[in-house]
Amino acid sequence: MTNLPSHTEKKLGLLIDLDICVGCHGCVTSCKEWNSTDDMLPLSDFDSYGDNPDGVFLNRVHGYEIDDGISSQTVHFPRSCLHCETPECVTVCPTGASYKRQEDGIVLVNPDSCIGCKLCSWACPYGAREYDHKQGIMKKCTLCVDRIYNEELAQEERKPACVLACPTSARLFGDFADPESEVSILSEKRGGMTLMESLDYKPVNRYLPPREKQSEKTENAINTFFASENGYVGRNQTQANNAGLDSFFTWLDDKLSSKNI
Amino acid sequence: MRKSGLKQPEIELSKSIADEVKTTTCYMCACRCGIKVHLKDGQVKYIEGNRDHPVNKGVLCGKGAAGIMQHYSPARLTAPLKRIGPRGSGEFEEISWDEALVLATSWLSEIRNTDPRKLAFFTGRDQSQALTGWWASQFGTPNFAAHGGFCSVNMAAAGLHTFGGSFWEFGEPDWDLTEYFMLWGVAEDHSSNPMKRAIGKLKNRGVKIIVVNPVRTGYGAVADEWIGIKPGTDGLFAGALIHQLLVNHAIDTDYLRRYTNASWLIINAPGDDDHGLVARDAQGNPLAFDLASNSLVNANLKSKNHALHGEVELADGREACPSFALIAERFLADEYTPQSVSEKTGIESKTIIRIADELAKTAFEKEIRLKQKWTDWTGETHEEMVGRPVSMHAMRGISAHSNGFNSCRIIHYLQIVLGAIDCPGGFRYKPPFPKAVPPALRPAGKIDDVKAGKPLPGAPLGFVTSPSDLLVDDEGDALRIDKAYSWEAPFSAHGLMHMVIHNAANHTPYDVDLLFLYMANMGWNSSMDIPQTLQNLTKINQKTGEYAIPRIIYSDAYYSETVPYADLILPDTTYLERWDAISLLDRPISEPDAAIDAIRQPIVEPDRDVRAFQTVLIELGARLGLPGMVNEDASPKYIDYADYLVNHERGAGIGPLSGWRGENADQFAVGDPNPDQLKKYQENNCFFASPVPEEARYFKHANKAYLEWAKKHGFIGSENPIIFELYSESLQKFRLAADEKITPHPPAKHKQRVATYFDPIAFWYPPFEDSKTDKNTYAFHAISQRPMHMYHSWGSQNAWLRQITNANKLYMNAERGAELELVDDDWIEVTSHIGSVTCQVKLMDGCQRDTVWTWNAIGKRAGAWGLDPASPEMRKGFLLNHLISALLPEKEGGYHYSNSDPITGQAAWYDLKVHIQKINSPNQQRSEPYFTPITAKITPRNTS
Amino acid sequence: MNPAYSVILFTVLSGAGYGLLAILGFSAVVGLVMISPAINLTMLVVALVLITAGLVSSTSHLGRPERAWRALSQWRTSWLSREGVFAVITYVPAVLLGIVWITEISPNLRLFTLFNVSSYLWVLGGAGSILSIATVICTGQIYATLRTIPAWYYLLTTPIYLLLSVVSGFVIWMFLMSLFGYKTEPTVILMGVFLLELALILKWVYWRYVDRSDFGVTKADAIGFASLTKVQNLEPAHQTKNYLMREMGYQVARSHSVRLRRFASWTCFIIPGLCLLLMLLAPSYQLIGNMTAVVSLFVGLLTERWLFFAEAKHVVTRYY
Ligand SMILES: Nc1nc2c(c(=O)[nH]1)N[C@H]1C(S)=C(S)[C@@H](COP(=O)(O)OP(=O)(O)OC[C@H]3O[C@@H](n4cnc5c(=O)[nH]c(N)nc54)[C@H](O)[C@@H]3O)O[C@H]1N2
Ligand SMILES: Nc1nc2c(c(=O)[nH]1)N[C@H]1C(S)=C(S)[C@@H](COP(=O)(O)OP(=O)(O)OC[C@H]3O[C@@H](n4cnc5c(=O)[nH]c(N)nc54)[C@H](O)[C@@H]3O)O[C@H]1N2
Ligand code: SF4
Ligand code: SF4
Ligand code: SF4
Ligand code: SF4
Ligand code: SF4
Ligand SMILES: [Mo]
Repeated sequence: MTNLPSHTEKKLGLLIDLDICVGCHGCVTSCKEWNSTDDMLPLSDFDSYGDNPDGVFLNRVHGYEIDDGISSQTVHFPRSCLHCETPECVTVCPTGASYKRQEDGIVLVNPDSCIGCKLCSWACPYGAREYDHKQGIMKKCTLCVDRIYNEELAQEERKPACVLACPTSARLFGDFADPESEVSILSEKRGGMTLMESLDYKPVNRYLPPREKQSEKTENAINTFFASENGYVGRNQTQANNAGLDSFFTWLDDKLSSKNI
Repeated sequence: MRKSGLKQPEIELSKSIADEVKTTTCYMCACRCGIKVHLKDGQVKYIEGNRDHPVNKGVLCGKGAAGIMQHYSPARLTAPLKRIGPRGSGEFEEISWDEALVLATSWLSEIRNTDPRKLAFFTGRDQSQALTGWWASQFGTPNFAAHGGFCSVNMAAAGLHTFGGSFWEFGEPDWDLTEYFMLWGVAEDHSSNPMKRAIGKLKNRGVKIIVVNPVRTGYGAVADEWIGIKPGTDGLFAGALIHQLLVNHAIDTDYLRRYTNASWLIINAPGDDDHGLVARDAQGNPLAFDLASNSLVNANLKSKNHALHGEVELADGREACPSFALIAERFLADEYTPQSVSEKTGIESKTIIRIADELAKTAFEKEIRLKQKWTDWTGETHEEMVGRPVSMHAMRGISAHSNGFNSCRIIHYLQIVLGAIDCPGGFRYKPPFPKAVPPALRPAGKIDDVKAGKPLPGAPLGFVTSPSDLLVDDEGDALRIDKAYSWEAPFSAHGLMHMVIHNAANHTPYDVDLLFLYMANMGWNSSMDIPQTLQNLTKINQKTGEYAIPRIIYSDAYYSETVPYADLILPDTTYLERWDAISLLDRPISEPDAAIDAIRQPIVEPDRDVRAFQTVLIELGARLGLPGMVNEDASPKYIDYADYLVNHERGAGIGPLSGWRGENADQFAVGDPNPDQLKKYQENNCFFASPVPEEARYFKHANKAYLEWAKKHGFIGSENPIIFELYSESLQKFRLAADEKITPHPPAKHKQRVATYFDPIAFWYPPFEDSKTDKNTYAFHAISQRPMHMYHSWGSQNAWLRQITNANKLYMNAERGAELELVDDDWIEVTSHIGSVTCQVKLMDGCQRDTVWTWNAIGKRAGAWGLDPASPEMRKGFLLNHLISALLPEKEGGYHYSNSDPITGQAAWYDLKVHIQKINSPNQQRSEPYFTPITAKITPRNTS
Repeated sequence: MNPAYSVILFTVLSGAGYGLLAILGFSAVVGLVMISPAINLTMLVVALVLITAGLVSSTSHLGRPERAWRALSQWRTSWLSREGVFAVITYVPAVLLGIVWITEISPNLRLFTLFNVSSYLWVLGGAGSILSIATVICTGQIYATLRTIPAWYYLLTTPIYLLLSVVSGFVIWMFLMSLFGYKTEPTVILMGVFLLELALILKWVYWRYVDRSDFGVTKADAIGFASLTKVQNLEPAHQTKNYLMREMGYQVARSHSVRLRRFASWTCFIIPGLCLLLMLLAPSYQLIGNMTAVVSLFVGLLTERWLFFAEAKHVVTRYY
C-alpha cells in the first residue's frame, strides 16, 4: 500500500485564499469537531484543563508578518495536509497504514494497521501529521473523506467541514485534475502557490496569494474625478481657511440657486 | 517503485454521527448564528452552522464549532450555592433551589417594601433585557442596566441621537452594492460571522476596504489599506475627511436638505435663553429659509429651496442661520485641515486628501440608480433609488474612548454629507430601526417614580433630550447608583455598569442593600482597576461592621472569578439547555430587508441541579408578587420562561416574539398570543423573518411605505419621517443649562464640564487620560483587541480554544521596541497612573508607533474556570484592566469623574496611557500582578 | 529532532550486536580464528542479546507495539520495513549458527544427522554477516532518505551508521576474546584503531556538513511565496507545545552541542583508540584496556546518537 498509485483519477484538494483568510480559526475547531465525532477514534486532547494543554488538530492557522522589501503585511496561514502527489509520508510507512487513494488522491492513514512509528510525520515537510499518543496512532487530514462521499448528507453538505465552516469562504474544495473545476480555474487565474516546491512532494493543495492591495491604485483616478462634469466636484484647494469657507459658501449659493430656483 | 492496482482498505464513507438533529441559536458569542446540533444517545456530538439561517448562512466561527467543549466544561456550576466562608474565599454550601429562592425572595421583598432603590440589578451580555428591564421596573428600582455602559453605548447613543439608528444590530453596510468600505476600530465586532462573510465577498468583488485601526491584525490584514491611526483621534481624521469633502464641494446637498436638519435655522442670540436652539413657528415647527420665496417656512415641508447657509432675520428681529452653515464653519476651520490633523492622528495629510477624494469619487461617480419606484413621506414619488455606494462600520475602537460619542457622531456626519445612509450601496437600517432621533423613551427613576412596593411608572433606561429628563435630586446629585442620567453622564442610555461596585461600596451616591448580577464577570475582566474592585467587593462598612455591599446575588453558568464574591449563586444552564428569545423588543437579528427574531430551544436536559435564569427570575417575580408576574389570585402567571415568551404581552398584541402570532398563526409582530408559537419557531430553524416590502427597502427614514409598515408592526409610534440631527438641540439645551438659561442647572462643580462637552455640533477633543497624564512618562496608548476565537473570559475553560490561546503578550511597534532595546519575549513592566503589570513583549510591524496592545480577557485568576492554578492563563496571561482606573486622575476642583465619556458615561477602556520599562531580572517567570488563587470549597448538600 | 531514548538505545545496541554478528559470521566464513565453539556460541549469544534488546527497545517507541509485525509488509518502499524484514531474517542464520555450535559442543545433541552441518558453517556465517550489514544499512537509509531533515539527508549518514556498527561490534569482539584469554593480534588491534579513527574522521566531516547544511527552503517557501525579504511569526497556531514542536522542534543550544561533540569525539573514538594502542604497548593490561574501550565507546555512541537527533532540524520548523 505504501506504493503510490502511478496516477490518480482525481486530485481532490483544497484551495486556500490567503487574500481573505482573517485567521478566525473556524476551520481549526470545525475540523477538530468533525473528526472527533467517532467515539472510538476522536482527536485526543491531553491535559485539557492543566498547565500544558495539548491535543491533536488536523488543521492549524498561523499568523505572520511578511515583507517584500516594499511594504509589510499580515497574513494568516492555515496549514493542513496538502495531499501531495508524491509524498514520502506514504512511501516510508512500514505497515501500509499510510496510503494514497487511487480514485481521488486523498492521503489517508488506516487506523487499524498504523503502529505509531511516527516515521511518516518525520517525512512530511508540512507538519500535517499529528501523533495521537492516547491511541498510539498517527492522525492527519482526511479531506473529510467521510463527508464528501457521505450519502447520509445532503448534496451541498458533502464538502469538508472546514470548507463549510469558513466564514469568509477562504477555503475551496475541488478536483485539481479537472481543469474546468472552480479550484483549477481560480488557481490558474490568481497564481495558486505551491508550498516548498523544491522538495518535490508535488502538493495538490494550493494557496492563493494576497491580491495586490488597492491602496494607492486610485491615485490616478482622482484626476478624472476633478475633471468630472456632474456638478458635485472640482477641487480648488486642499487647504482651507476663512477663504475656504467663503469659497464654499459661494459654491453653495451657486449650486442651490442655479439648480433649483 | 510505483505500481498501480493497489489494494486499499475499505473505509466507511457514509457514516452517520447522530440519531437526532435539532436546530437552535449559537451563544458562544453575541452574534447569534443558527446552528444544527447533532445528538447521539442524548449527548451533544456535533454542532454545525445552519445553512438556512439568515445570520450565518451555514458558516461557523472558531468558537461556535467549539461549543461542545463549552457545554461539557468542567467549570459548570452544578447546584445553587450559599456562601459560608468570607467573601472571596470560595467557601460555599450547596443548597436546594427552594432554599435559594426563599432566601432571595426574603432579601428582595424587604427591599421592595421599604426602598426599591436599594436593589441594584445589573446584567451582562445576556440578550434578555426585554425581560430583565421589565422585571426591574415592576420591582420598582431604577437601578437597572445591562452591559451597554461599559461596552458600546457611545455608538448607540451617537447614532440614535444623530440618525435614529446605529451600527451592528441597528444597521449594516449594503454589502451587496457597496463599492468602498471603511472599518473603524473593529477587531471582531458582535456581527462576527456576517462581517466575515461580507468581507470575503467584498474582496472577491474587488471593493476597496480601508481599516482604520492602530493595529494591523484580523480584518486589517486583508484590508486594501491599513490606516494605523493614533488611538482616540478618529474624530479628527473623520473631521479632516469632511473638511476635504467640503473643500472639494463633494457633498450631497440634496440629501442634506431632504433628510437632515441642515436647513433648520438656529437662533443666534448669545445670552438669550434660547440661543442656539432651533427657530420655530408658533406650532413648534422648525423654520427654514426658502430661497425661492425669500421667506421663513416650515422646515418640515421639505423643499429643494431651503438655504443651507446665510444669515436670516427672524420674525422677532433676531438672527439665525441654517445649522449646516455652523457645521461647515466648524469643519472648514484650520483645526480640521489634513495638515493640522496629520501629526495628532499619525496619518499623512496626503493620505487623508486621497481618501477623501476616493470617498467622493465613489459616492458620486459610482452613483447607483436602482430602478425601484418609491414614495417619500411628503408624497413625492421617485422613479429610482439613488445610492452613494460608500459604507462604514465602527465599534469599540471609537466607542471605548472618552471622546467616543463625538467621534462616532463625526463618522455619521461623514456618511450623511455623502448621502450614504440607507441608500443603495450605503449603510442600511435593520428593522425595527430607524427610530425617532432619539427614540421617544425617557428613563424612569425620578424621586417620585420610586415608591415602596410599587413598580416604576416606566422603563429604567431611555433617552434624555433635555436637562429636565435627568434623574437627579434637587441638589443636582445622581438618583441612580451608577449615576446614569446625572450631570456626570446625561446621555447614559445604557447605564454605567462599570461604576456600580465602586459606587455601592463607597456610598456614592448612596448605599444599596443588594447587588444582583447576572452574566457579567465583574470581579475580573469587565471591571476597571481589578485590585480596587476586589477590595470594594469585600469592603467592610465601618458603621455596620457588615460588608459595604451587604448582599450579592449572582447568576453565572460557570465558576468564574466573580462567583466567590457572591453570597448566593443561582447557577444557570448552558446555552444548549434552555429557552431564550432574541426579541425585536430587545436586540434582534434583523437584516436590512427583513425583521427577524429568534429563539433558543433546549437541546438537552441539564444533568445538574441548574435552572435557566430567566425562569428563575420569573419565579422570583411571582414570589414577590410583582405586577404582571402574578394572576389576580396571586398565583404565578407564567410557569417558566417559555410560557412567558408565548403569553406575555408588553402592549396590546405585542409580545417577546413577533412570528406566528394570533389565533391562526398568521400575524406578524402584533397579534394575540398563539399557544403553538414556539412550535412554529422550532419548525422554522428557530427564527422568524418578515420581509420588508420591496419599495420600502431604502430610505426607510423617509420612505412612506416603510414608515407605514413599521408603524403597523409597532416599531415606531408615528409615521413621521426621521429627520437626522446633525445639529443637536438636545445637547445645546445642556449648554444653556450650564449657562443657567434653562432649568435645572448643573451644580457649580459640573458646569464647566457640561458647557465644554455638550456642543450641539460634534467636535473632537483629546481623550481625558491623555490630557490629564504626563505625556513623557506615559508615552504609550494601551488598548486591547478581541481574539476572534475567544469570547471574553468564557473561552479559557474550553479545552479546544485554550490550546490556541492561553497566554498573552504585550505587542508593540518593532522599531519603537528596538529603540527601547527590547526583543521578543523580554519581560517588561507596564505602568499606568494607578498601577503596574508585568508581562512579556512581542514586537511587530503592523502596530502604530505610540500604541501597545494585547488580546483581551486572556489572563485568568488562579482557581477560576476549573483550570489548574498553574495554567499559562495565570502564569503568562495578564489583563490591562489592572491598569485602567475607574476614576479620572484628579485635575481641577478635586473631583474625580469616572473614567468615562462625559456625555454617555461609556467606559473609556482605550484611553489608557502607560509607561514601559524592561525588566532585567532573569528570575522573572510569571506575569504580575498574581492574585492569591481563589478556591471552590463547596460543601455538598447531603453532608451539610 | 527529539532524541527519543528508545531509538537511540536501539541503534546503539542493535548496531553493536549486528556488528558483532557480522564479525562472527565473517570469521566463520574465513575461519580466521578457529576458536572453540563454546566461545563462538557465547559471542553469538551476546550479539543476539544486544540485537534483541535493541529491537525490544525500539518497539517501545511504537504507539502500538502489538502490531509491530505489520511493519514487515512494506519492504518494497519503506526502509523501515526493510530494516524489520532483514532484522527478522537475520535471526535465521544466526540461530542456525548457534545450533551448529551447540552440536559441535555436544555431539550427542546432533540434530542434523543427515549431513554434516559444520561444512555449511561458511554459508550461515556469510548469510549472518551480510544480513547484519544489510539491516544496518537499512537503518541508516531510514534517516538518509528523509529530505525533510537535511542533517540526515546526506551521503555519509549510512556509511557512518555502518561503520559505527562494525566498529562497536569489533571492539566488543576483541573484548570478549581477551575475556576468554585470547591474545589479540597487533594487526587486529591496529585494524580496530584504524576503523575507530576512520569513523572519527567521517563524523567530523559529517559535523562540518551539518553546520553548513541548510534546508534550501526558506520561511517564505514554506508559506508558498517565492521571494520575501522577511517572514516573521506574529501569532502562533497554538500556544503550548504540541507533538510537532516536541518531535520536530527539538533544539539543542549551539554551545551545548559543541561541548557534546567534543565529548563524543573523545569517548567514542579517541579514548577507545588510545586504549587499543595501550593494549598493543602493554599487553598485560589488555583486558582492562579493552574493557575501558568498550565502556567509553558505548558512552560515546550514546552521545553521538543523541546529537545525531538533537542537531537535526526538521523543515517543518520553518512554520514555527
Ligand atoms: N470573538 C469575540 N467576539 C466578540 C467579543 C469577544 O470577546 N470575542 N466580544 C463582543 C463584545 S462584548 C463586543 S463589545 C464587541 C466589540 O467588538 P470590537 O469593536 O471589534 O472590539 P475590540 O476588540 O475591542 O476592537 C476594537 C478595535 O479597535 C482598535 N482600536 C482601539 N483604539 C482605537 C482607536 O482609537 N481608533 C481606532 N480606529 N481603532 C482603535 C483596536 O485595535 C481593536 O482592533 O465584540 C463582540 N464580539
Ligand atoms: N481591558 C478591557 N476590558 C474590557 C473590554 C476591553 O475591550 N478591554 N471590553 C469590555 C466589554 S465591551 C465588555 S462587553 C465586557 C465583557 O465582560 P463580561 O460581561 O464580564 O464578560 P465575560 O467575561 O464573558 O463574563 C460573562 C460572565 O457570564 C458567564 N456566563 C457565560 N454563559 C452564561 C450563561 O449561559 N448564563 C449565565 N448566567 N452566565 C453565563 C460567564 O461565565 C462569565 O462569568 O468587558 C469589558 N472589559
Ligand atoms: S502534506 Fe504531508 S502528510 Fe500530507 S501528503 Fe504531503 S507529505 Fe503527506
Ligand atoms: S505512524 Fe503509522 S502511518 Fe505513520 S509511518 Fe508509522 S505505521 Fe505508517
Ligand atoms: S478537509 Fe476535513 S480533515 Fe482536512 S482540514 Fe478540513 S476539516 Fe480537517
Ligand atoms: S475559517 Fe477561513 S478565514 Fe477562518 S482561519 Fe480558517 S481559512 Fe481563515
Ligand atoms: S459568531 Fe461564532 S460564536 Fe458567535 S454566534 Fe456565530 S458561530 Fe456562535
Ligand atoms: Mo461589549
